[in-house]
Amino acid sequence: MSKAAFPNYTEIPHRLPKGGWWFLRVAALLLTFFQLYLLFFQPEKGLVLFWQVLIPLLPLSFAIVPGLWRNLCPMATLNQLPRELGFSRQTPLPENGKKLALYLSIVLFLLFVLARKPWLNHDGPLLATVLTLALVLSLVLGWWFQGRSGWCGTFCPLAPLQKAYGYAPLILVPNGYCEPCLGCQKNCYDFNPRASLFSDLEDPDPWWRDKRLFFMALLPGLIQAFFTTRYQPAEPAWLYLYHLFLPMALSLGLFLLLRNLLGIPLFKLLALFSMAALALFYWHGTSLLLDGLENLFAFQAPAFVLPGLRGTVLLVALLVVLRGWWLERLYRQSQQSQHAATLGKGMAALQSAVAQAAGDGVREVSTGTELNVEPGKTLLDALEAAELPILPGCRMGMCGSDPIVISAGMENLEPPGEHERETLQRLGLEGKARLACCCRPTGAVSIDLSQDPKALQETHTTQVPQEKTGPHYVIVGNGIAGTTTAEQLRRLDPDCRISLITREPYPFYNRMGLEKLIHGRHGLEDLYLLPRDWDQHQQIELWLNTRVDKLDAEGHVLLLGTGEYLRYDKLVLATGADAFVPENAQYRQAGIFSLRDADHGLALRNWIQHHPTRTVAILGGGVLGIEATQSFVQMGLEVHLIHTGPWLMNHLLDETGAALLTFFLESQGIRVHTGCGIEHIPPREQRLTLLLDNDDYLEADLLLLCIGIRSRTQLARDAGLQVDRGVVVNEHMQTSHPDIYCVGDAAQAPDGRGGLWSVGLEQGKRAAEAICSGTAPPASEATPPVVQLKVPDIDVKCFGSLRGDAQSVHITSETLAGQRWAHVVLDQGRVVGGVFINETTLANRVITSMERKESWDVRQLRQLIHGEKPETVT
Amino acid sequence: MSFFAYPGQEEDESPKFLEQASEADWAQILQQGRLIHFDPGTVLVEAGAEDSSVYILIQGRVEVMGRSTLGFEQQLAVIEEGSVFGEIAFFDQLPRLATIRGLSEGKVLRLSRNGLSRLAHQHPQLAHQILLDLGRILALRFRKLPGK
Repeated sequence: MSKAAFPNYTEIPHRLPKGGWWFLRVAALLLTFFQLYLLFFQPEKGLVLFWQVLIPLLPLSFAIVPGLWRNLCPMATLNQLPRELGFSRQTPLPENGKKLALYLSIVLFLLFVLARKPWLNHDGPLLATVLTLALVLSLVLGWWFQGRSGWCGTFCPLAPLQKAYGYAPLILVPNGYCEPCLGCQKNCYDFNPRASLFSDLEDPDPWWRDKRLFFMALLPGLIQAFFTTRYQPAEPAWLYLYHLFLPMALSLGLFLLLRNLLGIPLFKLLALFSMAALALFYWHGTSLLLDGLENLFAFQAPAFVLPGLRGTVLLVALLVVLRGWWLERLYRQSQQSQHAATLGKGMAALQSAVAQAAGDGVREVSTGTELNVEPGKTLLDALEAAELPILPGCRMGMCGSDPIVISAGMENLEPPGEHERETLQRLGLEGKARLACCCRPTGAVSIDLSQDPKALQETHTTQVPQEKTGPHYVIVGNGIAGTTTAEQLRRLDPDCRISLITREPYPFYNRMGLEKLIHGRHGLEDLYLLPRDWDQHQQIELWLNTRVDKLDAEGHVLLLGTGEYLRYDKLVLATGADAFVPENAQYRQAGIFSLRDADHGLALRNWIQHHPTRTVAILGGGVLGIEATQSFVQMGLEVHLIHTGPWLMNHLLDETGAALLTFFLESQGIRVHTGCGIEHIPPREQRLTLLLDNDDYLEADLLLLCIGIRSRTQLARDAGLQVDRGVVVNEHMQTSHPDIYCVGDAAQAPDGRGGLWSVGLEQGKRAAEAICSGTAPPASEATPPVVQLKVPDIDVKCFGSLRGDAQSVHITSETLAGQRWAHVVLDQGRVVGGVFINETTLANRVITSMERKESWDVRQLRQLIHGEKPETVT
Repeated sequence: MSFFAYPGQEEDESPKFLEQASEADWAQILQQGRLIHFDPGTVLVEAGAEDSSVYILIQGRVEVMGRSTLGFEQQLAVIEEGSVFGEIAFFDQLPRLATIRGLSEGKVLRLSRNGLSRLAHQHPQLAHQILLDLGRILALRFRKLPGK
C-alpha cells in the first residue's frame, strides 16, 4: 500500500511514446545551440533569455515535474547519446568516485552561482563557453561511465538542486533512458524519484545524509544572499565572498538551532528549508522573470501578474512540503515493514501445520486462542501450554481449582465423571462449569476464561440457621477429609447440627496447591475452593482459629483452647498430619522449613523476601519435594534436590522412569543428588552448610524438608483411643471408641491407604455414611490410588506396586523416544502397577481399565504399549 | 533497499526466520505456542504491556500503532502475512513500545519465552535454531542502522 506511493520508473505510466521524447530532446538540444549562438553573437538577447527566462523557470519545474527536465536536459541528451548509439565504454564509477561526485556537484553549483555576478551574468561568450564545456563534459563522461553515473546523477551541478526541490514530485515522469537499469548509482533519483532523498537520509553511510543535509540547509541563505548582494568591482573580492557566505552560514546555523533546540525531525525541517528556498527564489526572481519575458516579447504585463505569480509559487511550495511530509510517513511505514523478518519459503510448512492442528476447533473465546488439545490430553494441558491463566490443582477433578465456563459445545465433552461431579457439586457449579483437568474434547468446544466461575457459584442470601433438633456432630479439622465428612453429613441428615473446628485461621483451601503460596502473587486467594458462604449455606458452624485441647471420650465433650466446652453426639477426627521433621536440633535452625500448611507457605515466601536467597536445598525426592522445586525454579533460584533413595520417587517409579524425570528436572537447572542424605548441619552462619553422608557438602540459603508426614494423633492418644502410626480405625472409619471416627491423614485404615487427597475424600464419605446409617457401603475391592505428579511440561502418572511376584509380567516401552516411558505390571490378567512418563493417552487407557478391573491378555497389552496395531484374528 | 531493486529481480530482502523448518517442526512449535484468532481491531499487543513473546503472522494483516510527537495515535507500519514481530521484547523483556492490532481477520502464533524453554526440553535443536534465527534477524537490523 505505502509502496504504491513510491513507484520506480518502470511503474510510472508513460504519457508520451519514446519517439515523442526524442523529438522533444532534439528540439531542446537545438534550442540550446540557438541559445549558445545568441550568447556568442547577440549576447544582449542571449543573456536575457538565459538568466531571466530559462533559469528562473527551472526551480519551479523541479518542484512540480522534475522528470521533465531529467528527460529533456541537453546535457543528459548528450550524456546518454554514446549509450544509445552503442559506443559507450560503460565503466562503472567506483564507490569513492560516487562519493566524490556528490561533493563535487555541490561545489560546482556554488562556484557557478558565485561566478554569476562578477562574470557570467553579463559576459555572454564566457557563459556560452562555460555551458559548452558542461555539454562536452557530459558527453565525454557519458561515453566513459556506465548508465547515468557519469553526469546526471553524480557530477551535474544541477542534480543537488533537483533533489532539494523535487524530493516529492507532484507529477511523475518516468526516466526515459535506462532500459535496462544498470544499478550504476546509489539511491538513484531517476530510478525512484520519491524514495531517493529519504534513502539518502537513511543511508547506513552518513556521507549521503550529511552532504544532502548540508546543501539543503544552506540553500535558503545562498538564494537570499545572491539576490541581495551587490557585486562591486571596486570592492575587494573577500567582501563579496563575505556577503555571499554569511547568509549561507546563518542558514546552516539556523538549521542546526531548530534541529537541536526545538528537536524538529530531520526531514520535516529539510522540507521547510527547501520550501523557504523556493519561496525566496521566486520572491526575488518573479519580477526578473517578468522583466525578461516583457523584454523578449515586448509587452507590458498587468499589475496583478506579479503578486499573482508570487502567490502561485508559494502555494506550490506549500503543496510540495505537505506532500513531502505525507510521503515521509508512508516511507517510514514501508521501512518498518521491510525490517520485519519473514518466513519466506517456510510459510507453506507453517500453514499446513496450522491446518493439521486446527482439527477440533477448541477455542478460548476471550483471547481468540485456538487450543491444540492433543489426543488424550485435557483442556487443562492445552490451557497451560498456551499459557492462559488457569490454576491447576490435583489434575484429577477432586480439588476443583480449575473450573471453567463452557460457552459452546458442551455436547463435545464427555459428561463429568464421579469425582468431577462431586467436586462441582461441592463448588456449587454443577451444570454451570466444568473442571479443565477432566475435559477431553471430542469436537468443537468454546470456553470463556473471562467469565469467572466463582461469580456463578450458588450464592445464597444469609440464612438464619434453623433450630436443629437432630444429633450434634463435631468434626475436628477442615481439610478435604473433614470438609467432605461435613458436607456428606449434611446431605444425609438435614436435621443434624454440625460443627467444624479448625486450628487454622482459614476456611477450606487447596492443600495441594501450597507451592503457589511461595511463587504466586495472590496469597491464599487462589487456593480457596468453596464459595464464601459455603458454611452458612450448608448450615455448618465453622470454628476457625480454634484449638481443641482435650477430648473426653466417655463424657462426649471437647475442651477448646478458649476454655469453652463443646458437647457432641458423634465426633470425627480429621486432624491430618504434620510434616516429619527429625527430632535432631540441627533441623530447628533459621531457614529450615517444611511445607504442610498454608502458614508454612506464607512464611517461606516471607523469609525469602527478608533474607538474601539464591540457593534452595530440598531434602526428599518424593512427590512433594519434586513439586516444590517448581516454585523455586519459577523464582529463578538455584535448586538442589537431595534424596536418600536410590532414585527419585523410588517407591512409585522404576529406575528408568525416574531417570527420565531426573533428566527433565536437570534440564530445568535443578541439581539432583540421589543416594545420599544430610549427615550434619552445623550452626548457621551466613548460609546453611549441609554436610552430606557421601562426604560432599552443599551451601544453601534455605532448606525445605519434604521427608514424609506423621499423623496428628496426640488428641486421640491422650483420650485413650487406640493409636498406632495413626488413629486405628475399622473399615467404617470408626476408632476404638464407637462414637469417635477418624478420617484422612490422621487415620490408619485397614487397607493401609492414606496420605492422598482422593483417599481423604473417600474416607470422609465413608465415615458420614457410617455415622448416619450405622453401616458403610460394602468396601469395594480397593484399586491402588493413582499418583499424578503436578509438574508442568512432564506428565508422570503411577500407581500400585511395581514389585509384583514370580508370576507377574512386566511390560515396558521398547525405547525412550520422545522422552516417553511406560512400565505396566500384570498379575493374573489384572494390572496391578504402572509407571507412565509422557504417555498420557496410554496411561488414561490403562488406568481406566485398572479402575474397571478389566482383564488383559499379555500380548494385547504389549501391543498397546508398543503402539502396534492389534493383529487381526485369522 | 527494495525501492531501488530492478523490477523482476526484486529479491525478498527480509531476513528469514526458520525458512527451512519442516511441517513437523512447526507442529512442535505450535504445541508450545498459542494460536490466536484475531478480527479487525483486536489488540494483540498493547504498548506498555509486559509480554515477552515473539509473534508469527500466519494469516491476515496487522497494523503497528504508535504516537506522534504531539501524542496522536498514528499507524507506523503494516505487517503482512508471514512476518515475524515482537522479537525485541522477546529478548529485552521490556514493556512493549507499540500497540499491534488486527487490520483484517487472521491468525497469529505467539511463542513466549516459557514456550521456547519447553520446546528446548523436547526439541533442543529446533529451539536452538529459533534463537539463532532471532539473533541473526536482530544482528542484520543492527548492521542496517543508519549512521553506523
